[in-house]
Amino acid sequence: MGRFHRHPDGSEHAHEHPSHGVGDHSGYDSGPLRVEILEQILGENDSVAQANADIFNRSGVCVINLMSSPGAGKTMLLERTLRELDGTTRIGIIEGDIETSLDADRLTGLGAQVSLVNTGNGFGGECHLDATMVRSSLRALDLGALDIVIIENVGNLVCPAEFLVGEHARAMVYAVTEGEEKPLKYPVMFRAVDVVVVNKIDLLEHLDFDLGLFLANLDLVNHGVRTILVSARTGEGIDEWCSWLLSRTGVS
Amino acid sequence: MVHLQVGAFRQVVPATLVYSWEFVIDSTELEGSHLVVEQVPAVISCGDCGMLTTLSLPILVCGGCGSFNVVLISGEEFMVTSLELSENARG
Repeated sequence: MGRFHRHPDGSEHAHEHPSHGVGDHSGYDSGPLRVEILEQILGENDSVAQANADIFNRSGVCVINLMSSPGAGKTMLLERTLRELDGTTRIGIIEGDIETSLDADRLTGLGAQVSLVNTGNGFGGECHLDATMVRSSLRALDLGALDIVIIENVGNLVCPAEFLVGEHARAMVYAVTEGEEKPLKYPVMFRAVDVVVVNKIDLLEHLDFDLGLFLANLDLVNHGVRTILVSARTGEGIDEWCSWLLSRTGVS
Repeated sequence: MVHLQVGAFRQVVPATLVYSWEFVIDSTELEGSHLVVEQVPAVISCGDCGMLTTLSLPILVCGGCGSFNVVLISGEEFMVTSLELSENARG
């Protein structure tokens, strides 16, 4: 029978073993058959993400996945963005939050279509948006009437970086209050993005923050990545961010 | 046995994954099966000097010439590579 099997010491081989009716051979009789698979564990998410991307492309809408830690200023950046581009660019927002409609409420009435996705169940919830959640959020958007959709992901520097949702580009907001070493602590997130919006620069004069050191650390994990210095509070740099957004329109 | 590859640039903790697996498969047909995780190091290839560098830190700089012109050639794996199937379902 020449079955392949594994010994307790970890060695494994196949050999002839004639039946002699002694001892329990059930484990060897059906010794493991090793089957090569090569299946991506996130393959199901990736295929839904591709289906989302197909929908976005058919609608001619450019989709940006915006990520950051909690409190870095994603929502305030979007408030500024909607005011800046109101009347010239048709924007949709997919607002991902574990709980509450607080952020969606802040963005309502600024001329954008807003679709809220609460990932919560009770007082906790998913720490990221995945492709299926984004898919379900599309019901509340008229994509054909939009130029850009910005997905405000759940505030988290870890998990959102792992899940493609069908976006054309990925952006992150980083606040100067977070410390210079963050690119080295969260390299997967900082590597995953096409642009880093460095927010709260109006606070620089009050902080012991070394902007040069932060930019050098960022360069070590994502060499040459575009950075845009802004203050969502004062509006400084918002025009450059909006120019970047508009430069993505029509790009797929 | 379920064999997996997890790259150093995936935010997956193998020990936690193996631990969680036991709960997920409890009272299912997979009960008794085990995950065997192969951790794949992050390796960059230099576009200037051609050297391969295995990273111990997430810093994408060539260990040979210090160039930033590098490509990550392994370390982002997150996949099932093979299954060992047993007819008597003893795992």
